[in-house]
Amino acid sequence: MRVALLVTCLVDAFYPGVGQSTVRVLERLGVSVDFPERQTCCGQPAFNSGFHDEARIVAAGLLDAFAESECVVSPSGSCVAMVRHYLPKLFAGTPRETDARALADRTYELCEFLVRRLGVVDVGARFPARVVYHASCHGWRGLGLREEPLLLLRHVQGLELVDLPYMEDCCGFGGTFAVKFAPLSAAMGRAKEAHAAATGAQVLTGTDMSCLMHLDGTMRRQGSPMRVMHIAEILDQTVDGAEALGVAAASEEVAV
Amino acid sequence: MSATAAADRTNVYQRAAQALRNTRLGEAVRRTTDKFRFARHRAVAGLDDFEALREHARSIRAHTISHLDYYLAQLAGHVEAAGGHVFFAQTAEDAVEYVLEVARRHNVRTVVKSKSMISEEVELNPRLAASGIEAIETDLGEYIVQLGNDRPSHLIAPSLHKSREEVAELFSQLAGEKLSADTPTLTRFARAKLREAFLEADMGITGCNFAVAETGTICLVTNEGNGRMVTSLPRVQVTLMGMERLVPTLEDLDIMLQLLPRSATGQKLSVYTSLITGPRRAGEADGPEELHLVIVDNGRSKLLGTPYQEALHCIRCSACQNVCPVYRHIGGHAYGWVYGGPIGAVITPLLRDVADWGELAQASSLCGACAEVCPVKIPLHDMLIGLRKDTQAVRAASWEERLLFRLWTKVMASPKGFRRALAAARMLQAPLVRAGRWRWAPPPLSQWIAERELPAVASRSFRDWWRERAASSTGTKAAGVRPAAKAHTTPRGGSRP
Amino acid sequence: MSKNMAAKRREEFLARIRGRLAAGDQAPHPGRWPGRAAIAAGGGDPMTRRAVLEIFATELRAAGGHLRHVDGPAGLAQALREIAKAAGTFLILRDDDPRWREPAGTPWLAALEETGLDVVTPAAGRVAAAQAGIGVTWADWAIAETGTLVQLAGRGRARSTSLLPPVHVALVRPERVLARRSELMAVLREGKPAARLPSQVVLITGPSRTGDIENDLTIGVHGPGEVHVLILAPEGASGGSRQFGA
Repeated sequence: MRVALLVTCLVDAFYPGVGQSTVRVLERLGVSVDFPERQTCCGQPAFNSGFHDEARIVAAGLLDAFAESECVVSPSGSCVAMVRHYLPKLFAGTPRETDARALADRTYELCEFLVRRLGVVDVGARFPARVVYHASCHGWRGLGLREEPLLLLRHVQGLELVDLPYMEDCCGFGGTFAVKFAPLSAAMGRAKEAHAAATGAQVLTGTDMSCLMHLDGTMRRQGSPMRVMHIAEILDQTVDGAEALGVAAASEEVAV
Repeated sequence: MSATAAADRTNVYQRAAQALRNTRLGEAVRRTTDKFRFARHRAVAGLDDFEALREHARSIRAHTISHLDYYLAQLAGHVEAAGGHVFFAQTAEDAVEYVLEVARRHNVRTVVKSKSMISEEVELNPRLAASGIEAIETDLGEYIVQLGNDRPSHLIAPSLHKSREEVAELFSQLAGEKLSADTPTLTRFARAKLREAFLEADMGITGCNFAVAETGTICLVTNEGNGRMVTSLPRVQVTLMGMERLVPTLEDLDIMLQLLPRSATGQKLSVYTSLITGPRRAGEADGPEELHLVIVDNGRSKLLGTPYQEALHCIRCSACQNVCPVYRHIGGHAYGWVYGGPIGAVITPLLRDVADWGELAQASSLCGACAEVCPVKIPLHDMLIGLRKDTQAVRAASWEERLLFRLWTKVMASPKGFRRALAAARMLQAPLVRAGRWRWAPPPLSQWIAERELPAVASRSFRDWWRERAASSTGTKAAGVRPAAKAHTTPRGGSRP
Repeated sequence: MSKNMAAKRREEFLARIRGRLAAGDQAPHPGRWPGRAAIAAGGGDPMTRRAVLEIFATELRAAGGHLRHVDGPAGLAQALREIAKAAGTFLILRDDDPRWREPAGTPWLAALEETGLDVVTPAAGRVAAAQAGIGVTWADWAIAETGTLVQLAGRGRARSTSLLPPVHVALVRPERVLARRSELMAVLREGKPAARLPSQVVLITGPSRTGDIENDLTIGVHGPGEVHVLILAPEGASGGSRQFGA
């Protein structure tokens, strides 16, 4: 099977490791990965801010980039939700409407792809640590991504998955909301951090680097010892990854 | 209410920041909305086929609104056949004038009111007061809000921002003695005080949860019983209804009653559901001698035939407020008008003026929790995105934001632009980032780092890595594989679910 | 305002709506909700009378109401005396409901007189009514799925009988307990296409309550703080006082 990676601008610029992990996980499962370099951004920041002409210009580049791809996979629920739900609307009534619809139909979030398309729940990862999962809104509600990430995490050797209280509450990122309503966004982030901290987890994971960037920034500012990792990075761990990453070695005993 | 009229010229950013600083407010709002949303969750879990029911309710609302002229005419005909009067009020002023005229005709001195958001919307109380008519709010929460010269901050729990101590102080002033701040004492006091008002009032004013077109029936849903008092004891009943608040049939009403209390408070049914068809009839011992239904537009027709028509499907249950993380942090007043929360952020600009109020659409992280719980499936978060766009058509965004998105478009329009921007960012950030921490950043990033840390642009982007990897190997394995992972790179098919 | 002006105003109001709606789609009505329609039409699994009564009792109690079965007029008098004693009242307000005067009703009315309590009707005036400790009504229907009483306005009845006194006692005949609210809607609508409903139909589900002070649930804010349902055994039924669903 061959897929094209929609790495997302955020991962490309700030978190290349997440993109690398995504590639390794897919390749480990025998999927060959292509990266069309024409891609930049899905256009969501402008679209959500009401700059739809600007969003269309940028998103057109995405349509071009993946024109030849049979199947597109992305480590971001939010960008996939943009492609799936909003690009067809953004291009409605334009010559590229068909392209937008076609791309919407063949683009998958990573966990969704692994579980629903590949039928894999155990990717052969090992990560002995206590982990809490943050369901980002665009994955959870936008894509209906409920069980997929949890199934994958539950099959990681040594990983102890703990429930996050108030899991359905937004972390407060919200794109430009994070700067337009910075104090409010941060208060929401601190609430999420407090709920995560209450679980005693060592690592907080999720499917979206945007939320995780906000939460990581909040935790670092608050001096929280919790680490933030994208789910692809966890699925990429094939040895005693927790030690390699400096997570407390004692977790081995805790995690049964 | 005077506070409403003041509709201060602050913006939503300022009001939100101010509300956020009031930590007691946030705690109070979250305490109450948590109870509501968890109760709702349990209540809908107890329904078979809740999703199908929502879809059914959505269809009923869509049908009704798309045939609104027909059903309003039908409703009016049946109300009149039952002996009631119907008045169509295009504007807030029309509605207020009509109510005043009815009051004058009956020499009304005291009015008892049950909860009505639309009476807040048309600012009825100050106008009644100006005409020498005392209007007393009788929903306990509304009563508290009125005594405090305040405004409701939630659709169904208008005083949720007030602590019991504040309530005790308001009631003590009225009682002329110190009342203890326990709920039963305070409730008993309000019961006695308002009981006098119910028995003395000449006119009762109510809102309307639903009207039923096929029978000319007004449906009121309350828990306290004040709605029943107001429609049983005074001589004259006046009901104000937003023109969208109707369903075609009693059967449709039954569906709405499956959803409204469950979505609002998690009750299977509220304590009192009154179906009122015309004034009292011959031989009945009480009930109003005269009944007036005032059907109010006040901006609603502007939504018809637009992408926002569905906002008129709203049944004012408050479920969207209870789950909204923004509302839960800042409460209802920060939205600046009558309606708070996601539905308020959508309908306030639409009913009033997009240029002045469109900024409310920014007060959302677009998390979609609102649309997920809406019993009639209004796509509130999508409407907020639409409003952000429409606002710009009538009022340009700030020059900073426009400049930013122009730059962003240039950068993102091509991979070349993106590469260049990454290179530039690496150069510019070098003196600003120390030990992974930004010491200074230009706006809008300054807003970000005021609250939390910001990562630096990676020294090697993903696309750089991809190119290097492709260049260093013709295969797919060698480059970029983390050394520690080497021993376990054997592909594994994995188990199937 | 003149009739003509009112008519013109209405026509303008509706025309504006019509004009705007012309731009949009016409959404079809979804028809009947399958689950409830089946029940209203008597389809599905017809619940036994006993099962319906048990659900009613459970739901009423969940809503904070009380329920007991009374066998015959003596049982009613006894129940009322107990409720009055607990409430510390001597004054009962009863509707001047025609049902008290029906042949099947007179023994129950006699029972009311036998309690030794003072009994007044709404004719005594609002002040007396407001002082009564107990309001006694004949419920027209009850709805099992929510533990709800249904009171229709009508000749001789007062809306305030079930509202002003701190205790409401409703007499319910077992055959008047419906399984679902949709059945009530069908009954109200039955055979009368453009029928006028009674001037008021009120659905009462437990005692008056509020959560408006710090969301602290409080009972009896404006309406009654106690609701008692007395299920009247059918004529000739035997057996002692029974508790359902307890």
